[in-house]
Amino acid sequence: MNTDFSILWGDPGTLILSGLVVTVKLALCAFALAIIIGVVMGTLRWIGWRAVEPFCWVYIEFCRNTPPVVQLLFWYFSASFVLPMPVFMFLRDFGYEFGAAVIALAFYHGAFYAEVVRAGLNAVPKGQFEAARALGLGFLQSLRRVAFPQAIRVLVPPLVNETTALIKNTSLAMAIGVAEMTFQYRAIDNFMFRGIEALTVITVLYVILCLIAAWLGRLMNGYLSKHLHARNATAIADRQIVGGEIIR
Amino acid sequence: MMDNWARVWTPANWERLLVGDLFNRGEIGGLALTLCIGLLAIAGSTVIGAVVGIMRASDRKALNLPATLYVQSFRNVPLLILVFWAYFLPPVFGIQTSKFLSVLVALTLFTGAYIAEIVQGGIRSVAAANLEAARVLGLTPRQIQFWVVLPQAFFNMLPALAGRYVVSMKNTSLAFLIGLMDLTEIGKQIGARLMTSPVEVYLTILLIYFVVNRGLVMCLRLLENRQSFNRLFLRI
Amino acid sequence: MTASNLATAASPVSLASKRPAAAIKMRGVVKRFGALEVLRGIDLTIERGEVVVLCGPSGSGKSTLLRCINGLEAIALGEVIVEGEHVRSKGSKLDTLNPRIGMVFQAFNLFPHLTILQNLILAPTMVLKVPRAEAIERARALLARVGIEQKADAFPDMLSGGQQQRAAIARALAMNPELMLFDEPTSALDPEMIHEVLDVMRDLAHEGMTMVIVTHEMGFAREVASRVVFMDEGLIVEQAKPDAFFSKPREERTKQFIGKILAR
Ligand SMILES: Nc1ncnc2c1ncn2[C@@H]1O[C@H](COP(=O)(O)OP(=O)(O)O)[C@@H](O)[C@H]1O
Ligand SMILES: [Mg+2]
Repeated sequence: MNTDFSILWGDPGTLILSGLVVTVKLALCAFALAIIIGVVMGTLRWIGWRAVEPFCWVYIEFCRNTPPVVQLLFWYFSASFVLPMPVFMFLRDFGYEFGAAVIALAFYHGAFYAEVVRAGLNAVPKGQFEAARALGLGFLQSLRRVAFPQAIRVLVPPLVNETTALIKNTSLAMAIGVAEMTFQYRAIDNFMFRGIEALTVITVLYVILCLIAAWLGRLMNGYLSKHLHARNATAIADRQIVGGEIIR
Repeated sequence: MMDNWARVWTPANWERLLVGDLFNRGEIGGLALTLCIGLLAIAGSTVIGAVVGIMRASDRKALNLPATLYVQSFRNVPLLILVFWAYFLPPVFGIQTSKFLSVLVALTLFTGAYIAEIVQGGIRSVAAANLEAARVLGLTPRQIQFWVVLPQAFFNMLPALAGRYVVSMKNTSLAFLIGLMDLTEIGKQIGARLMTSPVEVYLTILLIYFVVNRGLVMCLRLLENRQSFNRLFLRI
Repeated sequence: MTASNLATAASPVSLASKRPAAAIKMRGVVKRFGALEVLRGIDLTIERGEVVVLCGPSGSGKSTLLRCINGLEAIALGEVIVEGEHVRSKGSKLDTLNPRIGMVFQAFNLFPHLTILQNLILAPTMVLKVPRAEAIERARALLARVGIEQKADAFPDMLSGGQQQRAAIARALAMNPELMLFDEPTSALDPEMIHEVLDVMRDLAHEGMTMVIVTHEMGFAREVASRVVFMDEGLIVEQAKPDAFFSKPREERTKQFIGKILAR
């Protein structure tokens, strides 16, 4: 096999770079939206509020048990049927594929974040929240001042895992024609016959992106353990997390 | 609205979704192909994950290091990229491969890396005090490993393992991206032909995946009952 | 079920003629954790059939001393001889320990994935190669003896603390131990469960089992012990018959300790 990486200084390199930019944008947008969904849904499930419980369950279980790439196709092909017209128009102006990919990834990973958040809240000793309520703190105050700070220590490792999964899943967006890295690799392979070189480069780039996410997670973990002394919560977390994945 | 459903849920479409187009000619597709890839990958990755996970939990560098290398490199790359590697690399070395094999190999190696982490976590989750109790009874290290550590580890990791199996089953859907006729591809084709009812078509496919995966989880839940686990795996 | 049913081939009396007089002999035992000297020269001889209660403030090295007797910890200097045999331990997880030294832990440490009965027969069938049926029969007898025969097929976490500890004692007894080590067996128990465990231990003592017990139950010590050993900072400060120990302790540190313990 003769590989020639110097060709990357030409067009293929430019394509990969533009793909990288799209991948990062996609990951950031989807992450932001997914975290919001995750915190809201996770907290709702933790509260166990009768009225919304079935709705939360259906959303989370459905998203977790179906392939992200099919969800992507679903949003792409049927957005115009299910989304309200103004939202759809707004997305179309944005680059419609990109919007569909953000929504699909956000809903998919939001369900996983929700489970992480719920498990984190469950790891906080029950007495903590009750004590806060007993001291007269409001519900949201107790949540914000007592439950979340203790839960977040526990959350970081599985959160990092989920976020790396999200970064990796951005590659699925090529299925609906988003011009991210994997899409650009396919183009280079099809039209320039430099598949192996391009594949090597984007593999390395994905590894770097994932390692950056892990590194940010470690920073956050270090910061939190310095500023929050929630040993108790960590001890419980150790029991609940096997292989970096939260059980129930 | 009901029209749309009626147009999607025809017997012909269901047959295509479940077994593919060329079933009569001996080629499986659709859900059957999806299950085939998924279950084979689950079996293979469990074997790999068990071996690598035990290596990861070992204190010996010679075992630990290669295992760590494998896990770290496979976990940080998108599965889709691995599928492309598995498809384009073997021919370079003169090895024959097929689309089916590349998806299977990539999925197995990818999932194996995750299962290795679960196995390692499971082994580490067995309390040290419990091992001491076993040692005090005069059990040898090997007996302790086999009768005390591994069964507890296995039991502790069942929920995480079930989660991984489901992910693996979902990931089979990447097969359509390199042109296999799996459930997703068939669904996509039906959607393309009907044009006007994508919501119904894709909801149908999602529903099939959902049922399969929930079924898988339910089966594994049976094991999570300590009594049946004990009867099945511990013939003391 | 009477006490004699429990007496086994390993019972001290039946083997007396063949064995050296002392069950445990420790000479000049020194144990270090890094720079910390936890045992600083322990000399202790325990005769067969003796019930020795080991007490002392927290951190004085009581647990460590017990763990040196069965080789869970490796000693730095000195020697430990159990039933005439040197205990040689590298302190490594790969050591296989002497199955005839039973040990009961503060936290019970039953195997959570096994039923109580399986907990009891695991080691006899694996280590002593007792046939399964025989092991089960003996296990049931032992469970009846400690009063939890109806719990044979339950899992450990379905039992109360007191029941779990009795099961742990039965598990140790299933190996026909020549001596039994107890490390604060009742410290993790609610008050109302303490006596049910102490009752089992009292019966065992009356049968002539050699026992070394770390405990803060001074009433039990006074009644059952043949000797009380008081440790502080890695040394044996004083040892005496219980009556003498409690009524006229010689050392100042002992007096202080007894004062504190009885004041509780
Ligand atoms: N594995 C260990 N590593 C380091 N220090 C230890 C270890 N085990 C015990 N120690 C120390 O040895 C001393 C005696 O401990 P221990 O024998 O448990 O005391 P006791 O049982 O009398 O309360 C304590 O200061 C304790 O911190
Ligand atoms: Mg102690």
